Amino acid sequence: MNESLNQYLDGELEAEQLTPEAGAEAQAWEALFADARQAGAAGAPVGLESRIMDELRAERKTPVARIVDWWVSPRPVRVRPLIGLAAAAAIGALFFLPIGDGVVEAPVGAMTTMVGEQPVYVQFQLEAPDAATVAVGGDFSDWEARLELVDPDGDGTWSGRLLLPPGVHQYMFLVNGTDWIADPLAEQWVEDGFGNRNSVLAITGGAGAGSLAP
Amino acid sequence: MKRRISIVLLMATAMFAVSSYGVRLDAQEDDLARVRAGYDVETVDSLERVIAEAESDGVPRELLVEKAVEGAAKRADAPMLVEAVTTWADELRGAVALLGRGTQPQGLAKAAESIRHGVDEEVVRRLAGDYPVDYPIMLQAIEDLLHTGVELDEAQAMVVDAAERGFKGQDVLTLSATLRRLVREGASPVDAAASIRVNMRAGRVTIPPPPPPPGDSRTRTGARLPIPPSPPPPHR
Repeated sequence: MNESLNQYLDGELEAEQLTPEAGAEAQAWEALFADARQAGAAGAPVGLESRIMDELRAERKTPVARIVDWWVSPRPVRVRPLIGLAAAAAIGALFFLPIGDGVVEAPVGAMTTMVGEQPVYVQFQLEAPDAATVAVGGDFSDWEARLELVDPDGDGTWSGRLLLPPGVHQYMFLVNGTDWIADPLAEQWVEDGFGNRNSVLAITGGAGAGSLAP
Repeated sequence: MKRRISIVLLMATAMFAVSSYGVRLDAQEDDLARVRAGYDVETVDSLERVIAEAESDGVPRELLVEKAVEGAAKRADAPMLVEAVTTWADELRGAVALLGRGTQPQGLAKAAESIRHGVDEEVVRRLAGDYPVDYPIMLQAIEDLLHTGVELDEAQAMVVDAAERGFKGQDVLTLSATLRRLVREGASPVDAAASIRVNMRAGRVTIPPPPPPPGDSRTRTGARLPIPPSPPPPHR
């Protein structure tokens, strides 16, 4: 927009001070303002107010919708820090404090805690050329087949790694999802009470093994 | 309005906390759920009776539940399941009588197994008393030596000797690992054990890298090779 016209519209210049071109443009603006002032004085069309109120009534929400809206609409919430802290402490207490006998149950492989060493990856391997699937389960997994072994090259050698805590663990291989078999190469085993032998694995963390060889 | 929001929030928090507590209680009560899913009511009742009686004698419930769950996972028939849990309960009672109520469950289980395998109760008691942290591993080392062919007295003496010399954890297990290596190299278990004890007593104890290389370890040990926990696991 022309600078002098700007100044005119701002009341800083009189019409006579404008150039003829700017003066013509100023007259056009004045005409537009006059029309606008006239339209504003005319008022709203007849019945507009009642139509708007009808629309608003039609949009009135059901109680359920209002409750949902309350929960999903963002809103600032003011909570006393003390109350918030107390609520968080209550939740934390329910989650972490023991139930019943007041003794914190040790997790499976609790010797980890006792030994105080890091868990280590243990590699499991089984020669099972006729197997469709091979998995490992043990006392570390509540005897659920947690680790599915793989045989990528199809040579019948299934293997996989599992992170285990230090301690003495019992395990077996689950072949084809139904047959529990002991590790044929295990150096230690224990009777499982069900007519089989659990293989035993003793690990004490990632430290290097020592030797007493002469 | 703000007060109402605070009240609603507090009520919601309380409801969440109470429901979480209920879920935890349910989980605790459901520790035999996998057994119930696979066996008739009579079997489960028998198991619960056995477990309750053992609990009253100081046996940790979790050890018996674990055995029951193991049997269920292995689809043991009902009589065998009850018998296995009953036998295990009796063995654990013996361990509790030996080591006392409140003994850490995994240690108790290892003690019960060791006694079953012939380890002297006095040795179990002594190791548990003197080495309350490491005794399960020490008992495992004794069993390992027995399994390798070492006589009971010799195996117990070796581990007790090692423990008194400050061996613990992996070092104790090294006893059996070293003995196996010597046996593989042609020594008899008796000679190997004697050789190790002589070296221990002479203070000629070294901690070199693990005796068998990884390839050998896989072939001979059923392919369990502790690996430092740096790489990510491929299957978790």
